Amino acid sequence: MKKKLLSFIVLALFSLLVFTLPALADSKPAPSNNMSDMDMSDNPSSEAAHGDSPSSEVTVAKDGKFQVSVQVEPEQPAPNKPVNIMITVKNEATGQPVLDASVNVDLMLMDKSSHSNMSGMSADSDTTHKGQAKLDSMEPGMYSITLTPTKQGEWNQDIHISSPTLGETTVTMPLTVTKSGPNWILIGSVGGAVVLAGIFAQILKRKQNALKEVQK
Amino acid sequence: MSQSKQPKSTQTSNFLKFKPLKRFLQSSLYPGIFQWLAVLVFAVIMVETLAGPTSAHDNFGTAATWVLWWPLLPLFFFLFGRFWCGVCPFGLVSDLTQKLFGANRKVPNFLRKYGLWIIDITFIFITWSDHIWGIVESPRGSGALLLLILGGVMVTAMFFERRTWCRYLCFLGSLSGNYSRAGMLELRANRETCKTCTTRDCYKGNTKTPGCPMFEFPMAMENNANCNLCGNCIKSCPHDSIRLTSRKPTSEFWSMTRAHFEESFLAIVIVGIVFVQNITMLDFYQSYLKWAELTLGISKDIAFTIIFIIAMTTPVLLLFAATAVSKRFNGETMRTAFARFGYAVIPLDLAAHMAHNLFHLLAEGKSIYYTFMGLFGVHLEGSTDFVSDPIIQIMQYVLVIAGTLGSLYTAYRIAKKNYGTSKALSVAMPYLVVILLFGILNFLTFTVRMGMRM
Repeated sequence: MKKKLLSFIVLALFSLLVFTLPALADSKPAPSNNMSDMDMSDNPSSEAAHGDSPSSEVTVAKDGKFQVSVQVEPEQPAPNKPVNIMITVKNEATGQPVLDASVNVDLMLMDKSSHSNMSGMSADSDTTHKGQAKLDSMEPGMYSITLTPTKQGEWNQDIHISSPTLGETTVTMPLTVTKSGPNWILIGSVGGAVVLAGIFAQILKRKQNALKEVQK
Repeated sequence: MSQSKQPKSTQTSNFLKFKPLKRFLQSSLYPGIFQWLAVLVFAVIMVETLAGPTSAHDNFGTAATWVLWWPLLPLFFFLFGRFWCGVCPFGLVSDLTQKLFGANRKVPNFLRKYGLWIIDITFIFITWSDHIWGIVESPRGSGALLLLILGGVMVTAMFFERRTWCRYLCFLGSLSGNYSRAGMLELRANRETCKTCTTRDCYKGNTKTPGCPMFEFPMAMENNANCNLCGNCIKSCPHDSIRLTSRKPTSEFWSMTRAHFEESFLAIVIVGIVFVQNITMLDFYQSYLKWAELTLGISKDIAFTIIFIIAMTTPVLLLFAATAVSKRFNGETMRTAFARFGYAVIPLDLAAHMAHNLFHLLAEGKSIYYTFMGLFGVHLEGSTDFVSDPIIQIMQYVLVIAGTLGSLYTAYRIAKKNYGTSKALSVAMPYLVVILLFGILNFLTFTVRMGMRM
């Protein structure tokens, strides 16, 4: 009975260990910045063909006047690495590109711990980046801007579009910035565990050998 | 219980009679040549998944693991038994670690007794965590899993003798053990010859070749579950007793004499795992997540966990229900009957696993080449599929139908072998109904287009 209880406890502890270990792994896939949370978004459209990456995710948003498509390159931005944001603006009624728009982008780090302002965003130079997107020759109606998020985390992009003919609109979209390097904590932990086990195994081995010699 | 008879095939189609093959299997090249190749590829995969691109789309490690290796694995088990385990890079790492640092202690009784339960728990957990934390679609997640396995292999090899990890702790080994039982290839020893043997080199090893790394004694071996075709017994047997033969797929399930509850439980757990994978690709799943979030106020992770528990427990409960009905006709205990008939779902497991992954292999297969070229800085563009979706879907249907028929036949044959022809149909009927239900559910889920991995 005692043995069974002990076995049950060991199994339960093992299960617990197995279920808590991956917390170390930090393996949650970085959510792709496909802008599905845009406040004026329609159905996001994405292609599955290889090679379109890293800027394959395109989200189309409509608000009655503008049809806005946004692409981010690279798809999974890293801290201190430039991010190219390509915004294509079209007249929703006609489908024609809007060439006279003024497109401004505000990139702000969402600060979950901050309660100092209503929006929950911090506003220092490290956590806010602004700029005006320039008309790009790649595609009619495409405006592009390169900004460099400095910290890891959830950023918000406010895209302000203003056109003398169509009026104004603002598109808000999330941008997830994650570190792309190896998880050294996990690698170190596993390596450390292996080294410790190795030392312990050597001690056991020596004890066994010593015991054998005594028995001889 | 009756002793299993020596299969007819052993007398007729021994592949070891083909001299070049036998010489190769007896040479020092085998399995080393495959193992070192596998270690080389594995090293690239580890580096890629741990430190390469974070997007699965661009990561060769993800493509090689989840688009090539994982889909081909069940086919390998079906054709060649646990050959993969014989050439697995973790096996070589285990052998080398043991050679250099191993204390070579006996395997604790706890592991011998409960190893399969640990594997069952691990398997369920990994499936759950794949949806919660992301393993397949996240290169870092895949890397973390591989690293944890590597750590486990090394630690186990440092303390315990032979391949303790592979035999008692490897969840993939247990899966391969189950699948290879349905397979077409078997390694066995000639019992008449072995009775006269006094050295037992196949188990103990000799000066030239170590004993069976999987703790098996070929003479007593009556199933494929723990034979990884490493070739040690072929090398060491002084009496030329070992046979490598083909056989009728699934025949092992009704010729075996000992059924293990844990193995049957794993088989039925895999039915649940395939359900989980398929359910989360159905249209209703996204609606359910939204409904759960809005109506019940629970997170997506908790909503998934609820679906997961339902999908995992339903097949187990259904099989228990079938056992309870069947018990009236066979007079066995629930545990014995469940253990005996649980194996019958393995052909369907294998077919569903193949069908599910066939999509990834054929619809995303070219991404392996694209991402491989990416290692050399070559950026390639293009479609990733080898064949169109409707063709893949037809192949999936064929596989699921074949698997269902295989499981139905297996359940009938198990009943016939154990309870006689007159009782076979009545004993097997509840299981046939449940297997048919599993088959139909699998078939229906494959009517929906699956999501891409890359």
